Amino acid sequence: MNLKLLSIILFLPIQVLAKEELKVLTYGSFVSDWGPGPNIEKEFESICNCNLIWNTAESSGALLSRIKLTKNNEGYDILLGLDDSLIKEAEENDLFLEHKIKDFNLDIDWDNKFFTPFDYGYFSFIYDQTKLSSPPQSFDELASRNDISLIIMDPRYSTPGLGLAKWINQIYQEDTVEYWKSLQDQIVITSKSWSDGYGLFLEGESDVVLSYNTSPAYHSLIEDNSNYQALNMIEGHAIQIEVMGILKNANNIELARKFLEFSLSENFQQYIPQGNWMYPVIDLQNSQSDFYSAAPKPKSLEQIFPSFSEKESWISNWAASLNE
Amino acid sequence: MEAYSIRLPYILYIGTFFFIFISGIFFFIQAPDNFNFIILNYSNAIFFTFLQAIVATFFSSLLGFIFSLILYLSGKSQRLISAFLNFCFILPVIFVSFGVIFFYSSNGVLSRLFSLLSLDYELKIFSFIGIIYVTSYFNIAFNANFFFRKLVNLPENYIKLLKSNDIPFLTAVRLQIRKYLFQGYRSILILTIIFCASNFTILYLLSGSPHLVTIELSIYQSIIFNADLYSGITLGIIQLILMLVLASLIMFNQNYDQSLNFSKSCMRIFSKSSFISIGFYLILFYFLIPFLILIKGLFNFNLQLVLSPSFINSIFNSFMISFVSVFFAVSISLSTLFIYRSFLERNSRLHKLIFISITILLFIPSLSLSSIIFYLNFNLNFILSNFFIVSLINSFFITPIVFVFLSSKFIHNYFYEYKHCVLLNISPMIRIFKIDIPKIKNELILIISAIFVLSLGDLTSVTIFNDSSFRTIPLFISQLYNNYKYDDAFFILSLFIIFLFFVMYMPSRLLKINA
Amino acid sequence: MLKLNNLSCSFDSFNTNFNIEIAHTGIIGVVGRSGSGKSTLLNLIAGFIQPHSGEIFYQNSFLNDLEPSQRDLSILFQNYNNFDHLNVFENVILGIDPQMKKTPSNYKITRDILKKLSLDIDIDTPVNLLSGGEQQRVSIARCLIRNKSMLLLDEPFNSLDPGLRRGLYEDVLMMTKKTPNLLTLISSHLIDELRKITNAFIFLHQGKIIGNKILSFKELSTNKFFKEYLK
Repeated sequence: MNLKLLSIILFLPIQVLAKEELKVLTYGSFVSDWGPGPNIEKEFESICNCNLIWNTAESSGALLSRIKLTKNNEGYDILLGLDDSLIKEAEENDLFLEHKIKDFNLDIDWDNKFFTPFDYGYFSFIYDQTKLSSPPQSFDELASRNDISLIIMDPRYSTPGLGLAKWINQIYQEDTVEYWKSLQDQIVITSKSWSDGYGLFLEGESDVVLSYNTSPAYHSLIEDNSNYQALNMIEGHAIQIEVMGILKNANNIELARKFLEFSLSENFQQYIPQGNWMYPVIDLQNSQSDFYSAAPKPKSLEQIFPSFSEKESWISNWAASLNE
Repeated sequence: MEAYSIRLPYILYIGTFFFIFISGIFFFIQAPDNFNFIILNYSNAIFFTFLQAIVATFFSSLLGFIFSLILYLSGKSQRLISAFLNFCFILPVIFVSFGVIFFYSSNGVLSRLFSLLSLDYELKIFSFIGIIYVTSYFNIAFNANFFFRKLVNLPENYIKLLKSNDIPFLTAVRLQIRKYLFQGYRSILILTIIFCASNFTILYLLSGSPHLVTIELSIYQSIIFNADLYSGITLGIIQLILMLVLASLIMFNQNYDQSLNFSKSCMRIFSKSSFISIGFYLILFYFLIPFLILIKGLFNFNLQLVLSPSFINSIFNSFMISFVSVFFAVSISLSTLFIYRSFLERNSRLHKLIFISITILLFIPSLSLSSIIFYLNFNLNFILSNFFIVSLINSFFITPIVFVFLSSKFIHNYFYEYKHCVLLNISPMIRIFKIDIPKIKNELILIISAIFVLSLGDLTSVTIFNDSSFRTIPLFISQLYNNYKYDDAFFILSLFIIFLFFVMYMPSRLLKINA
Repeated sequence: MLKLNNLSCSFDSFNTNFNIEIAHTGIIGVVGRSGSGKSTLLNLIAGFIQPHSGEIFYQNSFLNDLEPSQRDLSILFQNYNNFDHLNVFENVILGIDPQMKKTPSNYKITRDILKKLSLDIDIDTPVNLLSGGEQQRVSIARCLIRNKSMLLLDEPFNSLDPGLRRGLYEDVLMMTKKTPNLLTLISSHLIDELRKITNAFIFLHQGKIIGNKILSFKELSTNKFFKEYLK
């Protein structure tokens, strides 16, 4: 038999059987054993006949930096977990493809041709109600309460930290720097990541920690501990929407689009509330009623999408308060 | 031909080093027009790097010296004390940091003790104090071991002189033997400053404020969060220059004999003073504080975690990196020692250049080197795997430690040995395998154990090159901790430490090494 | 015959110029003050120092261009004549087998030579566990098995006590008697002890061989530099 023909016959089944791969870059906790990633992977692989390969960057704050640095030479198809405050910067760097998905049926307002949202939450401050009996109800009150110690995240390196900078900026506008200065004495730790900071709070290093209003839901539903509560600020709470997008030099664009569509379906979204401890972007009040009860939504501030320079100005305002 | 094959690892090392160095320069030349490095933006980091290094070095030297005296005068087993100090020096930073947090944090052991005694607990471990404490922990052990070995190796006739003239020992330390004790200390001091200035992991874990940032942390933040390799490399160059200036002021003295002679006669000094006894137990307690998490860890046995694919993957990666790093480091070190000695034998001053070419690695921040290699790898379309890169970077940083540790014994009697080898026509290959390696066998086994442990416990370069498919044990533990899986983190940490203990000491026990 | 023609070298401010012809064999003492050039002379002959000018001939061979291992000689120094971390067998057999192979013939050669030197020790003993005298005997044993026709001893026994030195000098004497064509140059400043084994001396003064020949002790005693040296 002709050798060429033989090799084609022998290798053809392997080619046919070889599955497509979808490489997703995300942050570590999303794909940890206790995060939503493993379940999402199983769901998607059962419908796509493909292999979903996760890779992680140091933190959500590091995701965009990695792609900017490497120009996606590492060959990822999707970046999952970008903060909405970084969307404009990502667009300015021309790193993503249009997703071409129409007909969003979401629980939030959304209109962006490059990114699709997959969860959202509201920044808040978490406290232990057994230790803090009269929690502050506004930012002004928080700053005036010298008895309250605070853990925040560094706005340069952490998306919650950046979220707080955005939040304060939205409320105080020109007086942002002054406000930050009034808060500095109470900040006992400025951690590099949300998980560091939150962990230190749980260890008793502060009275209050910057986090998400959904954090108490984890304690009450998983630990059966309702001591932890979120402050309800009368000014309103800044929203954070986490998004994903298809990278420009993705190897498998069609599969990536399929994944984005999948992420807006219940099969993906069902794992968000008690996996990522954020709100799903579709209405799951019926199936996730425990979660919604444990994490009532606060008053929301307007959603904003800053440019790179606007984002930098929030950070500069925070940095200016440190120099005192 | 044989001589060339022995020199090959060093030649490859020098070639790689220069390639990386030239790439760094090339990279800089290609910096975009909008690259604008404002050194003032990093002035705080530069200042803090050296402030915390100098403060930590001060405490390490002072307490190291005092501890060594107390340990020596206690009369307890010298072998055990030296081994214990060695072990404390090479403990994984992550272990000591978590151990210190476990003991001193607001919800820690000490705080609960204070609470029981109805006392206020004000100490904040995520602060300058915490950073200095953990940094000093290792370096106190390092310095104490240096002075302790000096005391143990006190010439017998010194002791006889002191005793026969009824000179109290501490007086003698101040007057007669101080010069002997501090002989060769300059190189230890420089190494201490280097270790204190480049303690990335401690800052990463304990820095609770944007003010508490060092150059290494700034490099990390530039690369990981700002995608700014240029700043990362520039900062690395700044640190390198400043460290070299500091080192040249103190001057390197490489004549430090590491050998330890436990088989001396019973002629030694020890004190029956209760102050010394109390001091001994306090010192022991100080060094054992981080080990308290072993108690917590071992009570939280989690078989499922031990059998999980991510843990097994971490172990495999850690081991492979360590084996490869140790192999590289030992090959390069032995090759360099061979060349270094051959220049000494020929009375050539080039031996100093060889010495510098290896020890300069101590001064280069590993993260800067990582960023240049990352850039290179990126331009080569990522042909080098993360595993190989991390092994290479690790090996670069343990090689000078191996070299310095082995050099004294390796070149001992080189002058006469050289003559005998020349006369007896002993080839270079036979000399290195049949004469040199048996000569340094004990030291080689000790240092291989130590650098294997150091490599296993390193968190620095993996923080840049990690992804979900490539994780090491320290990173695995760090991620457990960051996800509030404290019990699991302490459990794995406990297993890790016990394993490290065996790696460190079993080879020497099996081979019945005296030193 | 060993012939040195204007053999000169210099380092720092020290210059040597050696001229001598040694026609006979046996033991020749090389004496002189510290710094007179005794070690330099032996190292020049051995090939560890390259002369700036001059020639060395030995048994009609021109030695200048030869490596130490190519010269028909062995050399021992005051200290460090053994590899301390190796055992007796390895140190001895190095003389003829650099690979130190543990073969029955090698073991036999080692045992035989140690017996000749009345050294009753286990050949697996690490050399650093032996006494000073035993260690020097081990190094002498290595020289013996090499079977070279010239032996250079550069103050080899000075660090030992008088009793041990006597014994080792006797070993050297015994070796010379058993090896008829062996030329032994032994340097020392302990001339009284050297006199017990030889009456042939080379006296060095300020880098030169006095008389450019071998002298007996009687002849030496008439030399003014030697008289000053003895004081």
